[in-house]
Amino acid sequence: MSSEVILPGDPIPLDSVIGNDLDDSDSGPVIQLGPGILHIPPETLLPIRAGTLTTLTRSKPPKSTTIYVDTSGGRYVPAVQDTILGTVIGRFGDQEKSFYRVSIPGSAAPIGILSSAAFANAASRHTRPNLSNGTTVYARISAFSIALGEPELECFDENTGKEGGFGELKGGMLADVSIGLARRLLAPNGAYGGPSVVDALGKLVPFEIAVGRNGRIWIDSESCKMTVAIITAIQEAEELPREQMEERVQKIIKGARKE
Amino acid sequence: MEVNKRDELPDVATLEIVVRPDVGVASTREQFLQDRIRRVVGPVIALELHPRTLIQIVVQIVQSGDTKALNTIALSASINATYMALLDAGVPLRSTVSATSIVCYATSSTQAALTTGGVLIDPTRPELEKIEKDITSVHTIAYELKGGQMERLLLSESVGSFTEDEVFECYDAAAKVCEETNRTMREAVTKSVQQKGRWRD
Repeated sequence: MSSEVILPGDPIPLDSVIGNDLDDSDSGPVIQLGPGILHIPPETLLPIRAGTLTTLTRSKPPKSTTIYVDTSGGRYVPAVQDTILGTVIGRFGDQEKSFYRVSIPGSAAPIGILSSAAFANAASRHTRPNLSNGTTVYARISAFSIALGEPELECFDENTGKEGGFGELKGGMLADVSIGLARRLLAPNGAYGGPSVVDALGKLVPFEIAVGRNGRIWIDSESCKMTVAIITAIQEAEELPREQMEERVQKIIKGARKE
Repeated sequence: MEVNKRDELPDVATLEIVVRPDVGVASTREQFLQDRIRRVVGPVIALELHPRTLIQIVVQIVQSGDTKALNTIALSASINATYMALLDAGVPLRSTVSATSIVCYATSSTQAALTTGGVLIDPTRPELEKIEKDITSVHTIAYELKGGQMERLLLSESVGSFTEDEVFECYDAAAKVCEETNRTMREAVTKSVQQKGRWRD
């Protein structure tokens, strides 16, 4: 993994990214483009955001490299299979077939549609959840196209058909984080090297967390005071290197216990 | 953001630019600034990547560097600020933009500028007030840059009396200043990106 800061319109140093073995044979290097890089056919690659140009070498397909511009800020753009935290703001449709309008804060497409049938155990309309306005839901984006606008949401695990942690979140507190941090919190353990802020917190205090890719987190713990402390710890530790992060987290949690 | 149904465009994002003055209510001067900012940043934003959405930019002038008769510093500063805001917000952009103001003045009011007069690049308000009566022409110039290299001229807004040669001289001078501004901008972005990436250590 190599990285350098890049601005929109800068030339991408492709030679250094894929090495010098550019040949036209079938086994030539494959480049996959990630977010932040626009391909203008036939062969122009244009960075469209400011950030770190990151390259990842993959083994499948052979000799392939992924390049993308890594940024921590910016606005969330919905993508299928992302999990988001939203708020129910309305309901439409009839008794048989009703839909919730869900606000997705911080998103480029601010309103999602959640069918009342898109829950676990929603086969009969008597077992469907009845969500009132203002309810926080943890949902997965099941369909989205930027040209069509409204993302479609689902509140069940698509592999098992069960609840899987999705649906209404009761109690707890919502907080905003940068979408870069949300991405980091959701990444598989060790993807960004070493334990994360959640691991550090988990050693100190039991709590529940839900992370939405739209840059929102939901926390619930033993007391309101502790919940607020956990949120502060997560927000403050965002930019700190690991050791400082652990120190800061311990200080904040200890402080909340003492009071 | 969600776009007003009336302004919604089916294939591209709607670009809304609002300029708020430092004192008083918005007038034709702000309308003028809005129009010029739109012309500069419009072609640089990849609007087609976010159809049916709204990109809203509000420029609040905190302190106008211009004297009453001029409109150049507010414009070049707004363009630079707008671009930095777009960059920070992660809006898809095709290239980088820098703008600059050049004020030409005559040392004695009967002579032409540049030959015997002086040139101020991105002047401050006290500097402007000192030469206010001798200003012969004012140029606001914005360039598009790719990889720190000048790509094309995006805006050339000139007021006053000047010759063709003078304008070309201004272009050359502005190109140098814009490249310098661009370097400063790159440093700032690099610093910010590194600050945000400190957790990797």
